[in-house]
Amino acid sequence: MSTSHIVVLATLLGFAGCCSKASSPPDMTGPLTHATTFIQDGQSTREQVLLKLGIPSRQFEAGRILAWRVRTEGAELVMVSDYPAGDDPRYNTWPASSRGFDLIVVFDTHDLVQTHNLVPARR
Amino acid sequence: MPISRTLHLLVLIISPLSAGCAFTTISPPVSDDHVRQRWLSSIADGRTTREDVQQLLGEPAFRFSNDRILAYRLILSDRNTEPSNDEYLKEWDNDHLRNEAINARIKRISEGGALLSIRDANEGTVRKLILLRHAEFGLLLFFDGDGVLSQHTFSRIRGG
Repeated sequence: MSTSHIVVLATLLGFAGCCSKASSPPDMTGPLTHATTFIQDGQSTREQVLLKLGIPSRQFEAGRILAWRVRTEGAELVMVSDYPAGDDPRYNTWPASSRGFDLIVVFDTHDLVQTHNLVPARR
Repeated sequence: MPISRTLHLLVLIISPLSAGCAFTTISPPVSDDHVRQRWLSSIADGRTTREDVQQLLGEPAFRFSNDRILAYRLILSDRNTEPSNDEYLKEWDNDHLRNEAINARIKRISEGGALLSIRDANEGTVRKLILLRHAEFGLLLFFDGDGVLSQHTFSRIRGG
């Protein structure tokens, strides 16, 4: 092996230690659907859903509709912030892969889940 | 080229690269337990009333079931007022470029930071503060018919 080869190899190894591994965004819909099976339309109460999920990200129609920004880590369902962070705020580069999904839950007048759905986060 | 010269060349190349990786270690973030003890220690099931909570944290982000459930969205920051644009950009640059500055900020927050309640009414006035937040938490409180706290959950909301 020539000296130039060794130098190139050492340089590449040096850079490799500083670079993070790029990965394609995983398909989260399947695991998320599985992780939200505890929500039963017509049976689950508002209190049960809140105890399981924690504080919602947003509410609509005076709390009749609640939204949680969610993703999965392994089999665990985690709440994530819908506030941007992590990238230089002077550039509008919040990566689409980190937006996750919004779990939308609609409650009836008796505070029972009427219906729920997972939709890709839009903001 | 003799082997000693090759080694010297390798050292010369690798040293600056390693220096880029081996800067000051970032301190661990302020823990959930510390936040509870420092800012929320007065909240206790079976004792704390709805009024106590509102006196401590102000208006909640959400009220459900005729105020039987209150929900607070809390951000942890090193200040309690919205920074100017210059302060904001300076702090953002510090926090993303210098680990020493990050550690100093974590220490400032841990010892004298602020836990702020964010809701629709004040969200627009503290946008830069939200972007500079050290952590974000959700506090859900369930009260009994007498307005006394029956149970509560406190959880960290992860970055998006």
